[in-house]
Formats: sequence, C-alpha cells, structure tokens
Amino acid sequence: MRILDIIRRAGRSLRSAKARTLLTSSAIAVGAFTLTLTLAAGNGINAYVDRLVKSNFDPAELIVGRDKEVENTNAPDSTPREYDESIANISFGGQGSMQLKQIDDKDIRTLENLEYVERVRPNYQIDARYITRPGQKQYTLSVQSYNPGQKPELAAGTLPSKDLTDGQLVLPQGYVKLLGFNDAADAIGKTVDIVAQQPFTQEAIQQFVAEGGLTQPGTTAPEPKRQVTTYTVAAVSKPSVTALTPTGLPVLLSTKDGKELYDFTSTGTQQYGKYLYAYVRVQGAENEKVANDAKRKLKAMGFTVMTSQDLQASLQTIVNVLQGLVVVFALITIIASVFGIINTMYISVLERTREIGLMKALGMRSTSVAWLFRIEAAWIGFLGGVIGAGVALLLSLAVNPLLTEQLSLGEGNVILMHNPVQIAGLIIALILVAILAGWLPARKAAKLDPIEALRTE
Amino acid sequence: MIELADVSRVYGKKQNQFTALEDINLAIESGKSVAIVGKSGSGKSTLMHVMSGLDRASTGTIIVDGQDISALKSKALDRFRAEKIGFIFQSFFVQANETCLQNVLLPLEISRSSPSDRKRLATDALEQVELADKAATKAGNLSGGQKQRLAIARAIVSQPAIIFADEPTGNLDSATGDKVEQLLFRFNKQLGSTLIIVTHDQDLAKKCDIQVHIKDGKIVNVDSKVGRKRTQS
Repeated sequence: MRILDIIRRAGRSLRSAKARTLLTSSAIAVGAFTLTLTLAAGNGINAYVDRLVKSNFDPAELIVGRDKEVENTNAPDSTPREYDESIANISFGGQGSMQLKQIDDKDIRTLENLEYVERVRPNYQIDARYITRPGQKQYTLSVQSYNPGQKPELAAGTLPSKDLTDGQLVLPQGYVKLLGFNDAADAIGKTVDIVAQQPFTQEAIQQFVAEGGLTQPGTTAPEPKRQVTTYTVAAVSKPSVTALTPTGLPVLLSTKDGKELYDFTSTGTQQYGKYLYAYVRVQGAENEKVANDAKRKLKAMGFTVMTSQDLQASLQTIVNVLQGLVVVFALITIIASVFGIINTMYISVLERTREIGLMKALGMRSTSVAWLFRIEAAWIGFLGGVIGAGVALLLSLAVNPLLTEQLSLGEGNVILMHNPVQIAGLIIALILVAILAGWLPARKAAKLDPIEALRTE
Repeated sequence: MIELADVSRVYGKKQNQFTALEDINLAIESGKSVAIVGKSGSGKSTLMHVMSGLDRASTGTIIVDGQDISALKSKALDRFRAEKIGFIFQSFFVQANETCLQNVLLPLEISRSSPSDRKRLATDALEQVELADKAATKAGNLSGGQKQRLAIARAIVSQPAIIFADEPTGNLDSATGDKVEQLLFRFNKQLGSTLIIVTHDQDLAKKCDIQVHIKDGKIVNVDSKVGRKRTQS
C-alpha cells in the first residue's frame, strides 16, 4: 500500500471517531500549548536581553578588573581574604560592604600599551554634589564618563562618534525644565554648573589643626573644598526602553572631564587612582572569537575579564533556567498524553479487528497495517500540536500588546516571540512522539491472524 | 489450474494435535465453478484457506497457475492474494464508515495499482453489481443484499484469477441470495475467473460445475456435472 493511501485511510478512520480523536489529541495540545508559549517567551526575553546588552554595552569592550568577582555572576563570595593595598571597601548602603581588589593607574597604563587595545576607560565613581544654573535651584545628579559604544537616545543635539568634546556634557531630559530651559532644543549650547566637593584629606585636617582651628572656641569644622565646573550642553538625552540605569539617566562628561572630576573628589581617599574595573576596547572584539582571544591574553596577565558575550550569557542563564523548568512541566504533560494515545490506539485496534483481518486477507502487508495505525497516532499528534500551537498563537496576539505596555518594552517589541521554524519543529516532534506511542498497538494490529480476525460472531 | 497434492493441515502440537485436512488431492481447471460442500467442522473452510493462501498447509504442495504457493515467502504470498484472489465472506465485511467507492478502492490500493486507473476500475465494478448510484453512500447504510453485492464488486475489481466465496448467501434471504448467486456465476463465465464456493447449501452447490464433498478433513466424493451427464448418456 502506498504511504499516501495509508495516510488517507488513517485520517478517515480517525474522522469516524471524532470525539475520541479530539479528546486524545487535546491532552497533547496542552503540552504543545505550554511548549509553544515557553519557547516564544524565551525568544522574546532573549531578544530583549540582546537589545539591552547592545544598547548598554559596546560589544567590542571588555570589562577588565583585578578581582575575580568581576567575572562572578552569582552571589558574591563572602570569605574573608588577606589584605593587600589594592583592596577597597565598596559599601552597599547599610547592607555592609564588600572588599574588592581594584585596578590602579599602573594597570591602566599597562592595558593602554597593549597593541590590540584601542581604548581604556576606567570606571570612574564620580561623586558630584549637585547641578545648577545661575538663578536656579540645586539638583542632585549622577555623573558618568561618556561611552561612545553606548549611545543614549537623544531629545535634542548631536553626539560625536568618538568622545565628547572636553567641557561639554549630555544633559538628561528631566533637568531641562528644572533648570529653567524652555525645551530640550533650548538647552543646547547653554551652560550648566556641576559642583563637586573634596572630602577631608589628612593634609586639610593637619592644616586646620596647625592654624589653631581646634584650640580657639567658636570655630566649626573646616569648610570642605568645593569646585564648580561649568559645562556646555551638547545634547539632551531621553530615557530609553532598554537602558540599564537604576538611578535615572546620568549626566555624561568627556573621559578627560570625568577623570578630572573623579580625581578631585577622590584625592586623599583610598579610592584615589583605583577603579573597580575598566572598560577595555579591543579591536574587532564584536567577534566572539577575537574577544575570547583577548580575554585569554589578559587573564594570563592576571586580570579578570568579562566580555559582552559573557555578560549577555549570564543574563540569559536566568531566563534559560526558568524556561527549562516550564519545559520540564510541559514534557511531563506530553508523557501523560502518550499513555492516552496508547490507550486510544489499543481500543482502535480492538474495534477494528475484522477490518484488519480483511485488509490482511486482501493481501495487505503486516508492515502496512502497522503503519496504518502508527499514522493514525501521528495524526493525533499532529492535531494536538496544531491545536496547542494555534491556541498559543491566538493567545499571544491578544496578550502581547498588554505585556509590551506593562513591561514598557517599547513600540514593536513583543515578549511572546513566535518562530515558525520552532513551531514546525515542535509539531514534527509531537508527531514522532505520537508514532512512538502508537508503536505497540500497531504491532498488535500487524500480528493479528487474518483467519482468527475474520472468524465471525 | 489449481492443483493440491497430499495436502494436510494439522493444528496444535503433540497431544493436542488436530488434523483439519488430511491428504487432499484435487485438481481444478481454470474457469470452473466449484462448490466445497460439507458440514460445519468438516474442514471445508480450512481447505479454502490453504487454497487461497490465507493459511499454510502443514504438508503437501498447492500449485496455482504453475506457482507453488506453499513455497512462497509471506511477502510473496500477500502479493499473490492481492493480485490473484478475490474474497467474499458470509458477513460481507464491508467498511461501514467508508463509502462504497472507498470500499471497492481498497484492493486496488493494496495491490498498488496506478492511482489514475483506480477510480475507473472501481466505478466499473460498482456498475457491474448495479451499485453505481451508491458510490458516495456510506456502506453502513446499505441493505444486506447490497452489502454483499458491494463485497462482490470489491472481489472482482482487481480482476482476480480465482474468487473464493465463503457461504456468500448464508446471511441473505432467498430473493437477494438468488441475485448474489447470479452475479457470482455471471462473473465466473464473463471474466473466466475460477469460482470456489464454500457452502452447505445443496441447491447452490448443484449449480456449480464441480462439487467437492468433504467430511472429517477428507474428500469423500467429487461430482462433476459434465462427468455425471456423460455417465447418464
């Protein structure tokens, strides 16, 4: 018998038992539904993480530090360790602090001198007091040095392809009205002041004491040293849906200005000339192989390195673990439905004993008889897959706009991202599972003796 | 030509042995109509099964049109049945949930005949048994006589050399039974197919060219119409 005829006959005999077929395949459909949604959610979240990393990190930049925690994406290691000069305390507002080895200016120079390194940007922890303009109030701010690989979305102005010009800054949109500008375009070319404060250094205190500060009554603590720097607004940034900025948008300065401000605020502290990590741009490191090559070389020099691919992978690990869990549950559903198929197929074989006998008497091969039942099972798998995936698709159509809004993903980005190849693969896999489920009943059918099967009454 | 030489069929093993057929020797010329007559349990059905290749003889040889079917492998035997044999059963065994046309197509699908010819052959066969207008009707909705005519259409559609009919009128009233008989003998003459009817109906048996009487697995008597006429003259 030709396979096409077998497929047609199998389909017909399923149609003659519609309710049973539908009920059996609905068990598979539940699994298919869950798997389709899980895969879609995985696709969507991974695409989101991808966008997130791409818009926040320069793919050619490596994060280079001295401490192994730089590479650690799990909970930090809390074992006490031996002190050395490079260790600094990083405090977490009342949650205690973490001791991390830092890289220093000497390391930065070493890195800068490597032939494959294009640029090194130390991670300056700039501690500015406030931002203001003559005649306006003072507002808090966070400051970062500009990273050309991480272009912010702009409300006005333009950005240079490399670094910002010294003396210029990128102002977040939120400050435009507060600082008395009419709108974003109005702020371009105007100036703002950033005020930084130097902590007490040993020298400052010694000087204060030497001047008799403590002996004379009525004197207060020494005035901390303050520095006012005036910058021109080069561009106004606006919030991006994929920006990783827990503190709101930072004010961006040129690398040199950033370093000056950092030096001013950290002079005399244990932070001076030390950085948790530096962004090292390696030529061609968008390519994972080049990045890993550089990583290996830097590690040989005692640095700890994280590539943007590592970062992406670490973010995706969480997603993958969750996805894996749901997939396991869906697979359990499918295993349960396999027993349903086996049961249905055994009943089908029993019901059609005479039909099987007749077909065998008419010269149908046992293998053809077996395939008739396997394909009947395959139809059930196909039906279940199509129903499950179809319902999942419909649900996604309904829910995606809501989710996009709730998670503020931005226009055109969806969290349930369906991939036709994946769905087709899933349905094919379910068909194969169903064929396997139908294997034993099909064998029973194939082994029937036509004379016995045709013995009437 | 069907030739059986020393054919025996034994079921079971050792103490439980049961001999259904014993030393059957029989030769049937092509195109004849043959009745295998005997009481139930006489072995007449077993004889039909071994001659049609549904069952295998324990010993002896069965040669059909020069081919020793007792030596065939199961695949070749399936093919032999698909190409050479048509079956008609007492309980019809038509597929109730399929249409008449689909029922008649089954043997053609099994013998892998070319899809372009199938429809024509099946429609022809339905016309022959006067069921052409029922082609799209579900077989389950037919009357008993119609079902048996459908079974005849299914048996003749692949133009078999031999048609086996196991009590073809056993479940029918005499009027519809007569019609079925007429059809069977017509195709026997018209197509030249050898017709072998297993029956205990003496009237039906008498209409055949040859009557083979079976008792306890042995042939007790072979009557030939032609032969009898000759002795009478």
